[in-house]
Formats: sequence, structure tokens, C-alpha cells
Amino acid sequence: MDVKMEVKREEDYILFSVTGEIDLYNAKQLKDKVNTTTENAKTQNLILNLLEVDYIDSTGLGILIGIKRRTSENNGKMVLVLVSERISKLFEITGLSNIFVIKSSIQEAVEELQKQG
Amino acid sequence: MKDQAKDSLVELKIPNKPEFLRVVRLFISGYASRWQLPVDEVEDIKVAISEVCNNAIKGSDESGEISQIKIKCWQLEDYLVFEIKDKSSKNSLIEGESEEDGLGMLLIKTLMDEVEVISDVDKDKKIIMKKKIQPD
Repeated sequence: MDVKMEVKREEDYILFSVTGEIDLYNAKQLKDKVNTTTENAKTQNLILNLLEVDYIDSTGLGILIGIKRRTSENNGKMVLVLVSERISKLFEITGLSNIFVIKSSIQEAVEELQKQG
Repeated sequence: MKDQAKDSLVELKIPNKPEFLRVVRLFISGYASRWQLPVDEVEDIKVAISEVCNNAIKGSDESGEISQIKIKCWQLEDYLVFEIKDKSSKNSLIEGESEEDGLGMLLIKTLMDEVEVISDVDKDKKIIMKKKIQPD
């Protein structure tokens, strides 16, 4: 099953809204989409909206880590948006909740990026 | 196999290809619903089994060999038992080398109540995992 992504470019950030399941089969699509969108983009700040993600596996989590690394290398900042208890649980178990900035709404994520400067 | 286990045994075989992972998750959802487990318990099992299948698929990827991953599920006393077998994986079904593999292992061991790996050289790789069925 393909993961669906919508991209919204704002002046100070790029919003990726992801829908569906992110697993070994399709996680690379997410990575490729983010890489091609951010290449030569004016801003390297990212908001990954995972509110409509039903499932994510270790491959997907690894992709998110890779995106975060690349964003940092490009002097950008990254914020995740998610509220699903199931997905949040996976972040807690793996310790990734300590690595990612996670907010429960896009508005909060935007405010977080503004706060970080 | 004990009678209780035989009465509840269900098997699934999939090609060791990533596009079949969703089939595994749907199968596990359906099977676990038989015991009316809480949703979060079902999700735990789905994630753990899918992660084991991930390892099997990634482990065989380099060889290009297409074989089958075999999943068996049954009830044994207070547990649901899941056995995953794979022939082609060069790795153990629970061990790996990458950062992702580390995350996968952590999820498997945290989400399931018991995990046992049986891995003989040149034979099937097998993992048996158990999840306790909560009493009413």
C-alpha cells in the first residue's frame, strides 16, 4: 500500500502531511519525497504531520531519524505532529520521543519552529 | 501439539517480500480478534510480528532468493503463541546490523511477553513469541 503525502510550502517551513502506513515496503517513498522537496529549497525547516498515520515500523522510524539528521546537517529544524497513542508508544519504547520534538497539532508545530528561531 | 493448541492453530505463509507485510498485519488483527484482546494488545502483536518479518525479508534481500515466511498462531493456556519461520534469512530473525534493526529488536522484546529464538546453522530460522491473554 502506498503512503500518501501532501506537501505545503510556506516561507519559513515545509509541511509534509503523511497518510496511511509507513513500513518496509513504502518508507523509502517518504524519504525520497522529503529529499527531493527540500533539495535547493529556500527553507530546510520541516513539519512532518503524522496525524493520519495508522502504522509505522522500525524502517519508518529509521527514515524519520535519517530525515532529522539531514535536516540538521542543512541547518534546518524538524517537528513531528502526532497524537496517536499507538504511534506515540513506539516512540516512547525506542527512546525517540527524547530525540524528536513532537507536538499535537500543526499550529503548535509552527509555533515551536518560530520559537526556535 | 496439545489439543487446545491444535484447536486454535492457524497458519499463514507469505513470500518474503515487503509488499506482503500488510497481509501479515491484517491476518494478525483478524486472529487476535478471536480472543477479543484490547486494541493496544493487538497492536503490540502486529508490530512485533511485522518486525520479525521485516528482519526475515531484509536478511534474504541480498541473496535475491524468494522463499516463504511461515507464521503459526495458537493458544496455549493463558498465552497466544506465534511462531515465525524463515529459511532464507542470513540473519537470525531477531538480530540485525543496522540502527533500524536495533529499533526493531527493541520493539519485539518490549511488546511481547516472551521471546525465544531458535536458529540452527543452515536450517530454518525460527522465533516463538507469546502474548498473555488477559483474564476477564
